[in-house]
Amino acid sequence: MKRVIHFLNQFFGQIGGEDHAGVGPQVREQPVGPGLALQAALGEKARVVATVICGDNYFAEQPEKATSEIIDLIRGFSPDLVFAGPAFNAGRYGPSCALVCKSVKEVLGVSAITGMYPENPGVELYKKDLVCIKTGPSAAGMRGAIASMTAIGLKLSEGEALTASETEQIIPRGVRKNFHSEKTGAARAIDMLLDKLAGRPYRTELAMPVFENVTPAQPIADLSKAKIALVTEGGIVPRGNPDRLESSRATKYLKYSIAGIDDLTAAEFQSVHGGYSNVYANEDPDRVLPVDALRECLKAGEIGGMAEYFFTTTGNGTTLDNSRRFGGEIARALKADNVDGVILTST
Amino acid sequence: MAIGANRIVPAVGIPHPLGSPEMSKPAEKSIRLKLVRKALRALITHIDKQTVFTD
Amino acid sequence: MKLELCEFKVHDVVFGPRTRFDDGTLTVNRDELIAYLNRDGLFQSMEIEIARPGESVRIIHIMDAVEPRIKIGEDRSAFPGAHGKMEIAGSGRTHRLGGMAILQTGARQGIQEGIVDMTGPGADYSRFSRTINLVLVCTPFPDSSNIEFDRATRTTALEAAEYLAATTRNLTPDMVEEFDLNPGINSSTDLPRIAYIYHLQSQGVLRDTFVYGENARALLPTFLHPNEVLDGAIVSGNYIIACQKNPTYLHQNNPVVRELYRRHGRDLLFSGVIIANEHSTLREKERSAKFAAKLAAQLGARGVVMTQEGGGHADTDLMLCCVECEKLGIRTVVLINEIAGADGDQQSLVDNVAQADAVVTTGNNDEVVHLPGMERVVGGSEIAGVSGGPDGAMALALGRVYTSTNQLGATLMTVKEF
Repeated sequence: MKRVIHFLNQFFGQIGGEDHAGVGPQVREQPVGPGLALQAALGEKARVVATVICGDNYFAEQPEKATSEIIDLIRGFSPDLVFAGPAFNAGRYGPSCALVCKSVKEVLGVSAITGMYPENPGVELYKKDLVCIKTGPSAAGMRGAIASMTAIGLKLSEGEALTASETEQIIPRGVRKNFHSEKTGAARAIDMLLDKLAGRPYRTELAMPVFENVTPAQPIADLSKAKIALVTEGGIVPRGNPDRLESSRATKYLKYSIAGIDDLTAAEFQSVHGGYSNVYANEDPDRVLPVDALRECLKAGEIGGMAEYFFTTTGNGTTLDNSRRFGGEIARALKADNVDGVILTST
Repeated sequence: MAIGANRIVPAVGIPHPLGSPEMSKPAEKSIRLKLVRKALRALITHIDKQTVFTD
Repeated sequence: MKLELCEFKVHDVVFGPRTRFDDGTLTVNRDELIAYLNRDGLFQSMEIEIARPGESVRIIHIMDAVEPRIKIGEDRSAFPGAHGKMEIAGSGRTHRLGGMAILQTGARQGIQEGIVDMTGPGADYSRFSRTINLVLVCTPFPDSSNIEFDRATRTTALEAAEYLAATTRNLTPDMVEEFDLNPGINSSTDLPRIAYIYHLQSQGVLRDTFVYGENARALLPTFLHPNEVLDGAIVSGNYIIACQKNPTYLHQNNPVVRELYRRHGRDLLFSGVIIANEHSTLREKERSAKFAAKLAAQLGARGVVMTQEGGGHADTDLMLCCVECEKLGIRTVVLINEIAGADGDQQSLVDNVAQADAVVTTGNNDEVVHLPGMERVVGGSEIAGVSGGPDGAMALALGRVYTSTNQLGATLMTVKEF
């Protein structure tokens, strides 16, 4: 018989409401609250050996400490499977269930499953690392949620494949994998168009993503005292590409000096960007990285200073992860050098 | 807009954002200078959302 | 306009003393073909190899693929304007050697690596792992310019295509397909009119697409009869990212055109093809998007299928065009591929709009594929960025496998979210 641990917050763990949200992790060596329904659903296959309960605020205020304490408690019971929640649309409970499941999997190597309403912030934060059943927004959906968590959880702990309808019950982790469909893309496109025109239901194969927003930086107070730097994703490098910047799918960014250079010339610089025709940039690299123009602004006193180097990479099929890393590192380096503003040229 | 940059200055074209190869050298340089100045102006402008600086 | 595409099914290609087509076997006199193709001394050297499905062969440095064809009739070309005399393509008889392709190969800066494995797991990805391939390996003179190299390689592949298909000139085809939009179709039917907006990528030397012999860089969207597409009006000279450049072969056999034709008169009325270029400036992109949508409206289209070539800022061309069509009440389906990262957890596109609510994806370029070693390598002697020989086992992004995520929807590839 499999050993199961159930994680709950103070409310479902029957300690109390909001006034008990500060309680730290504690153990009951029996099913509690929704755990009774869980045990009934598990039947003879598994036994809820313990319930671990933690207050919502205790967890939210110190998630790392709380997680590690909870993991230590769970470890002591050597479980085969961990259930958390379901958390429905509870804004603190969701992330704590998610974090417990993630850590159980990563630290203990044990399967874990939770359930949430798709808009619970825990989904957005951790869906990549989670097996999470879709639930309704409130505890009214408890019975159905426990049933599907149980069926899928047991399969997970056995390493069994899920059926299509079971997969449907799980919130997509947002991980996209290639596979071969039964029809060609051309045939699928025409099927989809005819469905769309006839008002029949159809399913897009790629939902449009929502990009994250960045809070705009404060404006520069006095341009005539500001130090400005040039950064480009246009693949401008010294002629011959000495550091072998990739023409696409860049894995690095580079920094080159422009000290004493008033004008980028074709003899000294070139573009290696593989995503656009380099003819014009190779004739005059200022067309991508306007060193000559910025120098002129400096001489005219319009700006206070200029970074005597530029950062460059190739923005062509570069992964978001790499772009994020480049951006962060370049920004930190510029900040450390007291740069006030950046002109980033993009091709 | 989809790339998330907050201060955007539309430039000339992808293979030559800061140049116009069909123009004479001085005219091209003056376009480049204009775009760089527009970018500098964007840097001193207060914004609270994504903004495209068209002129 | 009526086109008869006459197929001669090729079961094998072999080298032999006399170039001829007999009972499904194409025999090629290699030396004669090289002498003919390089008669003007365009290349320092030229080699020709054969690679068949199932053989332990890796073809590298692939630039383009062409289906061998000839046009029946005096002074007609299978690639009018691009090679031979200008004439409107799409009517009369055309012979094709089905089941084979000519693969042009070459290496220089600006041409991105394209790989095809003829067996093993890699063979699941490329359209050209399933054709018998005659591979041209053209070595240019060291001082040849990009323009010279581009013209020479493209012309040579088209010449080879006509040269080989000419073996069928007086033979009876295995199959004749007729393409005609008009016969027996009641134009007053309620079937929805569907147009195809066909984006071409033409942005400079080595990244061009040719329409009747001219690059499409300055193209204002224009209207083609689908037969023109199937009959050689469009030729590729686009050698950027391997998985997502549309080769001449797939222009000649455009799967969207073929599928719309198949359902024409039954589920829909195919109202024609609008070709539009993917431009380098936002101004041109907007001009093109609005004009293509206007043409679709003029054709009375209720729906549009839209395809892409390449990615990055080309996503913007598609998204703008999608917005303009939907604005005019024309419903759209967009075919695209993705750059979702090796783990499939990154943003798939560079640009996106809410109106693109019906998308067919043809694969994630970034997923890593593991290719086992192959006994023979054709097309070159090294693969940039791969340590060890080109014949060895390697792990690389699917994007380097030729036509693996082809955006014309030629393959079964798609992406599922988990």
